[in-house]
Amino acid sequence: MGEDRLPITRIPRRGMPERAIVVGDPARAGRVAELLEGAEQVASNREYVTYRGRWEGTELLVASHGVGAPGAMCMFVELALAGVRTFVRAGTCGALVDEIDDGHLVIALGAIRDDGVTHLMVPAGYPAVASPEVVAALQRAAGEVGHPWHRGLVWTKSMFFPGVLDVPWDAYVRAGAIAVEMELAALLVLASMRGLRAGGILTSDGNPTQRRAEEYDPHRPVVAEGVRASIRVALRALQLLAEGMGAPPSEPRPFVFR
Amino acid sequence: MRASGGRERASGRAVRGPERRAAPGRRPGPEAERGPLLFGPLHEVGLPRYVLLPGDPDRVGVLAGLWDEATDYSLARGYRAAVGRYRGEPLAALSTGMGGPSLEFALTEAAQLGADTFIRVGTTGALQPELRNGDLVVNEGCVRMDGTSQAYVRAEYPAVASLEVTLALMEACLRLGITHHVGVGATTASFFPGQGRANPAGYEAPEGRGVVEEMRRARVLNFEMEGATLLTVARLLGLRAGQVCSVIAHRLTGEWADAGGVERACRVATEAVAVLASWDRAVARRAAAAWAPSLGQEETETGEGEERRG
Repeated sequence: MGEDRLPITRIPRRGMPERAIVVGDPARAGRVAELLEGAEQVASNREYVTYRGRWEGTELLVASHGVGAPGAMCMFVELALAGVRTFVRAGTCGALVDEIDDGHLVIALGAIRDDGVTHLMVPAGYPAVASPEVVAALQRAAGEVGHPWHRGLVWTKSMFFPGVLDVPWDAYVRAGAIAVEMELAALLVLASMRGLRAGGILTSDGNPTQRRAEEYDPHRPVVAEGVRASIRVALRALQLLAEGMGAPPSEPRPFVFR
Repeated sequence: MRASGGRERASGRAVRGPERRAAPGRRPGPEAERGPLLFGPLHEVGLPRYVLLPGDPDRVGVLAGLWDEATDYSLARGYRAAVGRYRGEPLAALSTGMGGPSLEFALTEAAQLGADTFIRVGTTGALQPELRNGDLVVNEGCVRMDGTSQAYVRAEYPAVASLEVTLALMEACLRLGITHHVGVGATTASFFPGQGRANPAGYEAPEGRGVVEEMRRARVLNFEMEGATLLTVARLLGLRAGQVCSVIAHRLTGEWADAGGVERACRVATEAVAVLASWDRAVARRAAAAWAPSLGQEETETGEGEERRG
């Protein structure tokens, strides 16, 4: 068993599907697995719980990566080592603009890299950019699911509770950030570094700039409904990509939108 | 698609359509200056929405030669423009010169003249073995070593191309059957040490020694000198921008050759304007807020091109 599994997540090194949905919460990974045919847990260690199964014929993994980019990067790297080529992160986020109501979805074009891990991996200025075909598939899937969605840059920020230093909330909102979360930039940078495809769809659990810290409550029905919609969007997007909205990077072939 | 969905925004105000919005950065503050007016003759005619941005003024002529009609303009400081039509669609080409500061002037004044969608048509040095001289590279993002975008926003902010412009460039490559690669590029403020070369005058900067290996290992496809400035500043100003470059130098083999790539990049960028115009019309017709593949079905044709992700 030992040598055939990756050290941190305990995912088998071989024989895994090449598409994955990654979520922060292990319990959410379990709820996604309940939507799959033939779902089975393939690994569990610490906050890293991994299932495999089929959704309408598409083989995929569902894996939890925990909170924060440095820990999440361990899951992302080990999934890549296990052969995953296309990633969608389905997570929650804070809204930074008024148009994004609680429970609305955010499709990320790219991320601001205050993630706390990629600055040690690539030079400053390396872009955390989502793969164009993954964004296109998420947009189309979101349109089909019919839940309100928005598109823009997100701010991946490694700090949740503030300290005594100022962080540039206003500057980033002026520069185009529409939401804030804690892991996506790590996934996008890793995917670019390895020639893989990745994107993210996030559910707003409230606007952190418009409440006091003690008012934060992600455990509300409107958020749960958004998360369920985001999972349907992520599953459909992976299916669209598998069906020919772009080929896996290992198999060069024409990119055709249908 | 929901008409309420898919807004792309950069400010507290939502503006219909992707990446078209009034950004607070455009609001002149007390110290705002207009900057020098470099494009006097263009102020008589204005610019259309779609503008191609080659670095080299001579490439303006190559682009205009592919169109149905074009008028040439010689501008201050060696800038050159052409305004014309391709398949009925109004478009323009405007040379940026080399480097971020030179592009910053061109982009800023072109936006003041009415343009909102920019495609840089560049040349580039390849950093990955699967790229060949003459191949095209579509950069979905750029590493920001450009020296100019640092004046606009912190280094953590990504230089990300407009999704629609990137997809239109990929679509144009497929329609024309042209080999292309999609991935991250690197924009440098120096050609010699900035891209890991010794200066021919004999000076080797220690700072430049590791950059080729570092970028290659981070799967950066290519080096050029304007992309990160264009992508970053355009996004901050609420404009759409993307980049296609032809490989004229290979940094792993040392080979210098155009191999027809410059002409192919000009054809792809011109065709991408036709693609974008059809998508923009589809978005307007369906009252959608952003283009999605399902909107493009009737406009999309399948080509024979080969797409390789970097």
